[in-house]
Amino acid sequence: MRGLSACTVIVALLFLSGCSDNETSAVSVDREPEISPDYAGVTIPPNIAPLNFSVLEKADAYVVKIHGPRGKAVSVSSKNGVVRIPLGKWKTLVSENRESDLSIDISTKQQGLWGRYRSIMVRIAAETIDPYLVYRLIEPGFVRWNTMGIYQRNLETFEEVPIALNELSGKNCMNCHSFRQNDPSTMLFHVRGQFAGTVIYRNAKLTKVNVAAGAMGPVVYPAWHPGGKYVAFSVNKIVQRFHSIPEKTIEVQDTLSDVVLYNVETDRVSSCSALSSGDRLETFPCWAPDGRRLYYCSAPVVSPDEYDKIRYDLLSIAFDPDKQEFGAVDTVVSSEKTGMSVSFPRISPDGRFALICMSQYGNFTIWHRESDLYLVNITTGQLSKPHINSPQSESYHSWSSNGRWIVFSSRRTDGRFTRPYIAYFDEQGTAHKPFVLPQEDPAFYSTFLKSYNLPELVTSRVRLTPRELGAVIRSKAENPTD
Amino acid sequence: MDRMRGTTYAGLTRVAVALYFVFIFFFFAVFNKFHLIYQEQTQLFLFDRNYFLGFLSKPGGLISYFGAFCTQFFAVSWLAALLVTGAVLAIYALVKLVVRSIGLRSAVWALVPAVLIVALQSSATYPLGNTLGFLIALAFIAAYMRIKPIRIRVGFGIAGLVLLYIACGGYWLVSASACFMHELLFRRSKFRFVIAGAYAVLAACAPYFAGRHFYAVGFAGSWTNPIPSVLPVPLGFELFFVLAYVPFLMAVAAIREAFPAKVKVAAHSEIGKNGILKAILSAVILVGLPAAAYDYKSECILGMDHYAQTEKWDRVLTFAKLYPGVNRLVTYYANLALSKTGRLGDEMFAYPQNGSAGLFLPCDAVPQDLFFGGDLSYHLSFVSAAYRFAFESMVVNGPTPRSLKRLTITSLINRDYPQAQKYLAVLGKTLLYRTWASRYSAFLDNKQEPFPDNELAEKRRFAVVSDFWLEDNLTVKHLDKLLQDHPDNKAALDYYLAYLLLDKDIDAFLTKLGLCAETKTALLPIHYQEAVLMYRYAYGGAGAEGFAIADQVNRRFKDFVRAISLHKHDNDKGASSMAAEFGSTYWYYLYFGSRIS
Repeated sequence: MRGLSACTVIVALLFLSGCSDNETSAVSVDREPEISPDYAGVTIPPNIAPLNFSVLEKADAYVVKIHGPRGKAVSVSSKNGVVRIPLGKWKTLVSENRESDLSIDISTKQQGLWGRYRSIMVRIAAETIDPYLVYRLIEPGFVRWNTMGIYQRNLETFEEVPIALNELSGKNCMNCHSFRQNDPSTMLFHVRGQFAGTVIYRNAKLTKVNVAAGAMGPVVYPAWHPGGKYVAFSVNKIVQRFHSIPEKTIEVQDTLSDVVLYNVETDRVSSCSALSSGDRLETFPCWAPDGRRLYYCSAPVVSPDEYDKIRYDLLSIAFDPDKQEFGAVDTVVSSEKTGMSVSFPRISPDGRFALICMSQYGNFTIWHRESDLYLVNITTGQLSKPHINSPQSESYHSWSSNGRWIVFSSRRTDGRFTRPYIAYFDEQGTAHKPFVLPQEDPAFYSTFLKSYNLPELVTSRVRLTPRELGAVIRSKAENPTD
Repeated sequence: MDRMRGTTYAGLTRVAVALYFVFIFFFFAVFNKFHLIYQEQTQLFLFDRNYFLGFLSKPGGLISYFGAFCTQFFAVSWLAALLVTGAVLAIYALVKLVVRSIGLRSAVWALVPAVLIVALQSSATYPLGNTLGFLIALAFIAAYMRIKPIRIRVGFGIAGLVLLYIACGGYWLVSASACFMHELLFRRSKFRFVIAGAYAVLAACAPYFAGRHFYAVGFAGSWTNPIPSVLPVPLGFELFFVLAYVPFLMAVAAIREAFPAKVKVAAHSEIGKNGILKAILSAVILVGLPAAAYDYKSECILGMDHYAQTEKWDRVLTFAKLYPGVNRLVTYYANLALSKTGRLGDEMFAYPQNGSAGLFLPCDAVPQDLFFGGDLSYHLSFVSAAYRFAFESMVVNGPTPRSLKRLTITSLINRDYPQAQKYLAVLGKTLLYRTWASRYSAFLDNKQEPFPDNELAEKRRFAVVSDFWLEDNLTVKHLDKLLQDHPDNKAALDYYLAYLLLDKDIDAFLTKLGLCAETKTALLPIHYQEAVLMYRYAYGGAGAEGFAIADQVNRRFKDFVRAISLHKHDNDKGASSMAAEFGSTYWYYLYFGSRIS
């Protein structure tokens, strides 16, 4: 079909060759042009950086005109199809066209003839996205790592600056950065290896502590309580194995896991029987926005050989923050009913939805191609699959502070390197077509050999520098382990 | 007459220096060839804006970038030698300028840093960018010292040092200390203390400020990056001398100026009067230092690695013979070369063996093992393992041509086209590998079966079907699994049988051998025949029937049994006296271990 329309275009161009000498008198091409990244039909926040892209149609020259119902159009000419939109003009155009559609008109010149493709439409939402995205950049390796760092990207520009770099602390592993409800002034992350500990930034104070749950060892997946006084952590005994067939790569499995509660103010770790049962694995804690329920994943313990039979339920447990007491457990998503395994629950800021990953088994979804994002209506219990998934792994995700945007990790471009995708989530609970985090160089992702790990939206810049954090990481923990 | 003598002496010196640089060229082109090729193999220069910007996050990023640019040409050994020699020659010329301007005359003074750099560049891990950093720092010093007007000089000094810091990082300290000493010791300006003080303050504060606000480096790194903080033991001293040399010379010159008579007399009395002694001493330093830094064993190993990559297996075996002693990497490559040339069963005991461990290279010890060790899994058609080790190598050692090519090929074999495309896109941004990338890019659009490339098609044919766990290192368990899926995987069978021989498990060896249909019809490789004979000898022939044994092997075995019986009471003597005749047999390995151990 595509071939046919291309032929039609060529015939039309030849027929009309005498009357088409510039892009204003271009011949219409009855299809959208192919562009990379794919921004066609996406909904974008009004404060996003320019959607620079490459036109994948072969041509000698390109003219791109971006316009909306209001304001001045932005035109970009290109010889190689790479379209870099001026930041200032883009900002003006986008801010003037909130809640409207932008048209991207692309004309190409081939053998002296201009053709104009059908416009690519981009919807501008009314709601902004939190201006910073924090992620870890790391190669998606098997066991080893080398350099890694936690970075923050200003979504309104292309500026990316490091927050923490492991080169300043003996190239140790650093992971699980977490914020209290998108607040950059309350965060933590773990450091492993030589300078092991958990770095906590809270009340403008930076500390390093050892948070461990007895014999289970140091804590892993964190979730800040909305009040900022507690952090729920999972503690996991993890085994990692490697498949020999190309269809599967890595199997990461918990042999033991519990969920514990860390009181940041008293430096005490506690739990309850429901969250630390001997015959079940509890992991991936996540608080409801009101702080009165803790969501988590839970599965019966099975032997490592039965790794492909572990299926996690999504459970929740009541919590009284004043008394620091847990209550009754409720099943939100039953793996028995779905036949699938739940991981990474994240509750929307209005408390109406839980966004989860589901895969055939296990919980380390990044290595499961079949892993997709699902939406749970917490009030009705209804489970739906938003149209934001791909045949490759969709994994870690987070909400913007206003609940209108979700950012998630996806391996859809090449199956290996994780990229952050942003999707609009409207009031009706529908997720719109996602788009990859825009880069100044539209071909950036095609050669970038690191993954974007744990994308977290924050409401402003994290005011910490690698040097400050490096010094804290290298220091002794305030509560050294016995 | 004196003048003529002086001219002749100067002419001879020039000729000697020129000859010395010819020697340096050959030193790198012939004796250090594989060290330099290895450097090219362990980095990847990209013509890419983001790649360039990545260098700017640290002081000295520009020289590291330029060094990486030059290092890509190390793939051509004579060009590598030419580049290194050129850099060393430029250093010599610049030091000579500096030396002259502070009143020292001897060419040897100017040659010392050049010789030290030759020693440093003899290391496979010493990047060319560091030599270039030193070179630029010297150029700055030479220029600075020639500027007479104080205002221009100081303006040039301060502005230049800032730029030098950005471009050369830690090497600017050489220039800053030279500026400091030059003002203090050789200028008579009444402001010299102020100017020298300004340089001292700049050297102390600028890196601190830059490190705090601009660069993602630690405290010490603000001053020293990219000077390596850890070097192999002898090189650490050499690097220290290189960095300290110009300030040291300035101090010497200042002392000579302050105490002219005493120092000159001392110099004369030691070497000045005796030209021959001076020449001999110079020669010892100029040739001896590079010779001392020269690592023949590494050159052999890196040579084997190079020829293994280019699949010139006979040359791999030549280096295995040349290598003095036993090394696991040498054994690993020798066995791989024997397997690739179909000679593992015939000749493996003609090369040093250190048990079954010599077949595999552990991939979990040091990063370099990952770099070298992934080859075997590829040649065994264990594609998932080859992909994994290449990926791990890329993570640990950074992207290299080797890891990206292997990732491309394994992804193509696995029909993982999007991933192959990614690695090809990276290689497409290089100068030397874009043709390779272009060739393999054609496979992205041509997904026909069977695969239009014999080697890749064969690997695809041997693709692992049954899922099993792949540990950190390849083991015999993996060979067994590969053979369960594809009994006709000859490389895996060769390695499996070699493993059993090296493990001295003749029972298991014969069982496995008996399962292979063709072993009963074709004449077995010599070591297999030797194992069969030994089994028959030990068990009276039961269980090893049906294998054809060549007459020559039979005769040799009888000789061996006779020789063994002569030395049955003295194992050591038996080992040494039988080594020449039987050292390359399996029987010898069974009794005494490897001939060279």
